[in-house]
Amino acid sequence: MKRALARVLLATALATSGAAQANSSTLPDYSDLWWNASESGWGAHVTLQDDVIFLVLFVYDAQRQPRFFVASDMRRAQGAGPFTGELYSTTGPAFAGAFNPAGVAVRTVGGASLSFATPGAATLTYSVDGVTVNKSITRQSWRIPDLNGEYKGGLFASTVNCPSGLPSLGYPGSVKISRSGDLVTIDSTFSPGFAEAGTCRMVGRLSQLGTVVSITEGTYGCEFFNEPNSVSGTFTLTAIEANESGFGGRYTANQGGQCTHTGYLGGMRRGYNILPPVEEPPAE
Amino acid sequence: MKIKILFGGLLSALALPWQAAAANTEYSDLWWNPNESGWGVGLQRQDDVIFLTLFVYGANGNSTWFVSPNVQLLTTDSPSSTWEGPLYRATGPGFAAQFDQTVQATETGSARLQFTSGESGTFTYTVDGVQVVKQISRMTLRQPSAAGSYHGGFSTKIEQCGDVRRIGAYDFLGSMTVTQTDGAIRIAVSTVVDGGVSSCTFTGNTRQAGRLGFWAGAFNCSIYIGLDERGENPVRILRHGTFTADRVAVTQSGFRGVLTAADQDCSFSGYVGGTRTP
Repeated sequence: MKRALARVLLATALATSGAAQANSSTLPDYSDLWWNASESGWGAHVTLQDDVIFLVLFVYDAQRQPRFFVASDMRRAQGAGPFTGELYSTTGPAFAGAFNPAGVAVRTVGGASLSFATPGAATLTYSVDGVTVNKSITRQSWRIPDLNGEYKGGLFASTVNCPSGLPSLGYPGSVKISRSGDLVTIDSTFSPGFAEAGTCRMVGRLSQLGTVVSITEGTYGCEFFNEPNSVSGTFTLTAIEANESGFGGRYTANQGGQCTHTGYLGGMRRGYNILPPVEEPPAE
Repeated sequence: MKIKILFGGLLSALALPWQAAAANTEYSDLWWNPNESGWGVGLQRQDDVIFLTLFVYGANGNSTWFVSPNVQLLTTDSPSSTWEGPLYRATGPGFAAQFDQTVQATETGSARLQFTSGESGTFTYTVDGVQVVKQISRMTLRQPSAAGSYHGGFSTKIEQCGDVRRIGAYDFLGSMTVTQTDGAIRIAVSTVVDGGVSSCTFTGNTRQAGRLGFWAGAFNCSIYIGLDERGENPVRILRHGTFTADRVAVTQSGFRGVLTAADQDCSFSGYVGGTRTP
């Protein structure tokens, strides 16, 4: 029992001894509230920190009473495949009284597995005292993140079979996002010093899955100040994470023929708002 | 000395009217009281609504949970903000059975979140007339590393300058390399404008609170502003000072955080971040 308790309270040890250092993040952020949209009433709170998931599963017991289970240390074997970990049931001091953590008892009831098919869809498998449950889950959505704004960032991608013959492209500069309904427009002005100067306009349709959004059915066109030829094509921007400081997502594009781009589009919010000029009153 | 001032799009001090940018503090995380390990509260913010899930124990010691799916902002949106919503208890079909639509939710009270910063706050909730008040903070499992290659820098407004001509807005963007080991971080940004190299280096310590990082340290910048009057030698301004990068989110596509800094003469506030480069 003590060993199980030590495992479920793993976060305590990490928080007090300094969090473990991990490799640079390359996973989509799976942190979210997940559910099965056809089974409203239960859910899973998923928190990803680097390569560890802390899962809290809130369901009902055979007496229809709310019960929660936790899998506090879900990882991927060799850094790939589903996240798996032991599932625990806990009992403890009633919320209405003083809370003594020594009064918490932990019991291993089985295991939990999260297999992500996409950043927004997964299969949750868990077992409790020999009963195995399989559920398809998705992120729960209730408000579309506000992407509108002006950013400093750009688009950076590897290229394959493109006319430039270069292995990569970079369009750094200013990015402005505006949304009307599900239509999103991304206007960027990229600057000299890193790539050719010019402008791009990207237009696509926004879809939401929980805290992440995607832009699909996108088309883009770019013009360069020092070149007569413009470029255009189709694009998608997926797993877009937006927060108070900026946004970023995975970018794929096809510039026509076999020319493809794969990389990232993102930026930090511009740290200031430029106010419109004050109009002088007309002279008498 | 006559100096040929050169400004490019990547490095600009804007002589334009400006104001502070809006905040949209990220509270989504697993929160707890580290002195009371065993219960917790999950928060998920989407725009202006937080979905709160409370994991506690009932009078019989069994685990139980409550939800507040519509916690709304009562104050200005900032790291110190107050949110409130109704709290519900639900009953439903057992997890081992076929799920049907017989879930029943009953309002039992309310949930109130008073954040004192982006990483801690006071959580007050009532269930059937019983009020509980708890201090909460983000639960930390792992510290993601921001190490990598980016294009990025910082975008800030400049205030409180002895030399009022510096007040305004400032962007510094370029190729960025981040190294991070054992709680120490180094961010090196460099850019070339009109043939001159400008660079900034930030070095400091990192601390993790839940999903977000908090970095603090010192910076040094060498800013190329042009050639001297003979057009031969570069003229540079050297700036140094301290910085904090708060609520830094490291993601698949890059990292971004809230920046405050001060050099010899001015205060800066805005954002720091980078977009990954392949």
